[in-house]
Amino acid sequence: MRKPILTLLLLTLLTLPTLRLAAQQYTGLSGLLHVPSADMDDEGIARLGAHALNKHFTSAGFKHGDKKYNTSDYYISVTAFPWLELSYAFTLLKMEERYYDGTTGKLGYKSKDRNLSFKLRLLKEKDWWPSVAIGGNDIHGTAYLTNYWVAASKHYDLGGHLLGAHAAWRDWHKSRASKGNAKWNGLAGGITYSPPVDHHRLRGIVEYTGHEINIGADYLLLGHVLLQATLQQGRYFSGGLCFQMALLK
Amino acid sequence: MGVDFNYRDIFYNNKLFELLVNLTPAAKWQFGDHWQVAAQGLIPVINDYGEHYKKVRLNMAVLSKEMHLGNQHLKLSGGIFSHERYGFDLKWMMPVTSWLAFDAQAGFTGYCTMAVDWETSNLNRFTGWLGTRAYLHPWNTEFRLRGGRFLYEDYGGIAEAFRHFDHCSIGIFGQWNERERFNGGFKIVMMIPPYSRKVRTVNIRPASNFRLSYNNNAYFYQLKMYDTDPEENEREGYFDRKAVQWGANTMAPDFREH
Repeated sequence: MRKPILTLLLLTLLTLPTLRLAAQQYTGLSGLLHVPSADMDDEGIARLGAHALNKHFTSAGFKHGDKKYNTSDYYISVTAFPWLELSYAFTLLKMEERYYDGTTGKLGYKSKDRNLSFKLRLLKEKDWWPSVAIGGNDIHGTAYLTNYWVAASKHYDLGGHLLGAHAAWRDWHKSRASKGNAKWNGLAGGITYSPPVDHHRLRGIVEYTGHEINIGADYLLLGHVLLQATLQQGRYFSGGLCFQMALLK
Repeated sequence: MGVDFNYRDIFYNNKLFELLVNLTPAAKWQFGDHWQVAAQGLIPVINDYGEHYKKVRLNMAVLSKEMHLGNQHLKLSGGIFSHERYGFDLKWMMPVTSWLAFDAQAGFTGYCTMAVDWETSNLNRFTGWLGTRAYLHPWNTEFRLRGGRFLYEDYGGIAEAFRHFDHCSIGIFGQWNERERFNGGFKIVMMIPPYSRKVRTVNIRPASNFRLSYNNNAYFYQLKMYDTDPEENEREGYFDRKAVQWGANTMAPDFREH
C-alpha cells in the first residue's frame, strides 16, 4: 500500500501551481494531523491549546507497565519569524502516586512530559518549487516523542478549491521505546483540501503516517479558535482546540 | 491593578502543578521632572506555595528619579523593592548606535519581609551586573547579554533573545551560574489592553503588562534580581520610553494617550 500512496503524493507535489495554507498539529506547530508539513503559519501567530490524544496516536513511550494509555497535552507556540515556529508542550503521564516512605497510591495522571518542538523553513514555496522545512519534536530531555523530520509542501488553487500535497521523512530512532515507534520511520505524507467557503477556514486532511491512514479536519472558528479532529485508521479519535491570535497586525 | 502568576511543576509531590496567584494593586505618582513614587501590594488569591505567601502584604514602595543626560540614562531608586529587599538601586543605559547599547545595574540592599511579621536585616548586600544589548530593527529582534553578581549572591551570566511583536514580546534565554550551572527557558511580556488611554489627573487602569518567565529547571534562586517598579518588564526597559528611544521603544507605542 505504501508505494502507490507515496507515488501519488510525489506526483501531486511536483505537478500543479501554488497557494499556501496554514494549520495545526498536536504539538502546537502547523502541520497535518500526526505528520508534519512544510507549511508555516503567518509570522506572529501564537497559540495556546490542548489536545486529547488517543493511545494509538501517541508514541510507544507513553505506557504504564506494558499498556499504552490515552492522554492529553497542552501547549504554547509562536511563529517567531516567517521561517521559524517554536512550541512548548506538556503531555500528561500516567503513574501511581508515590510517597516518601516508598509506598504508592492511586493511579492517575500524576506527572507530565515537557517537550520542545521547532520547525525551520529552508525553502519558501514558489512557482514550481515546494516549500521545504526541517524540524524536530521533543528535541531535549526524556525523549518520549523525539523525532526529527524533513518535509515538503506544495499548494494549488483550483478555481478557489485549495489543494495541498505534503511529503515528509521522519526519524524516530532517538525516541524512548524507539522500536515501538519504528513504524513511523521513513516516508509519510498527506493531502489537504480547503473548499471555497467561509474564507477557507475549513480544511480536510488525509495523511499516511508510514503505518496507518488518518483522516481529519480543522476549522478556525470566529477567527481565534482552531479546532482539529482526527480519526486514526478511521477509528480512533484524537482532537483538540486552541486559542490562536496574531501578534502582528 | 495586575496579577502576579506563579506556577511550578518540577518536583515530586503527586501534583501536576502548584499555583500562586496574587492580585497586585499598585499606585504610581509621577510628580514632574522624572520623579516617581510607586507602591504595590500582594493579595493572595490562590496559594499552593505555603504559609510564607498567604498574607496580604506590601511588595514595593519606591521613590525613584530618572536622569537623561545626552546618551547617558540613569535611574536612582530607594525604598522597598520586590523579592523582599529594601535599599538603593542604580540603573544605567548608554545607547551607542541605533542597534548597540550598554546597560548596568548596581544595588545595595537588605532583607525586608512582611510575610509573617515585619522582619528586616541591615543593608549588607551588593549586587550588580554589566550588560550589552543589540537590536536588529528590520526584525524587531533583540539580543541581550549580561553578567555579574545577582540577588542571592550568585555570580553568572544571562543571554536572551527577544522577538518584539505588536503589544507582545517573546524571548528565549540561557543562563549559567556557578551554583546551579546551566538553565534556560522562555519569557513572555504581553501588554494588557485597553491600548487607548485617556489621561486625567488620576488614572485608574489595569497594569500595563503581564509578564511570564518559565525556567526549565525551576531554579528559584538563580540569577534573580529585584524589581523597582510595579510595571518593570523586558519590553519597555527601566526608563521612560519617550526619553530612551532605543530598541523596542522605537516601535509604535503600545498605549495611545489622549
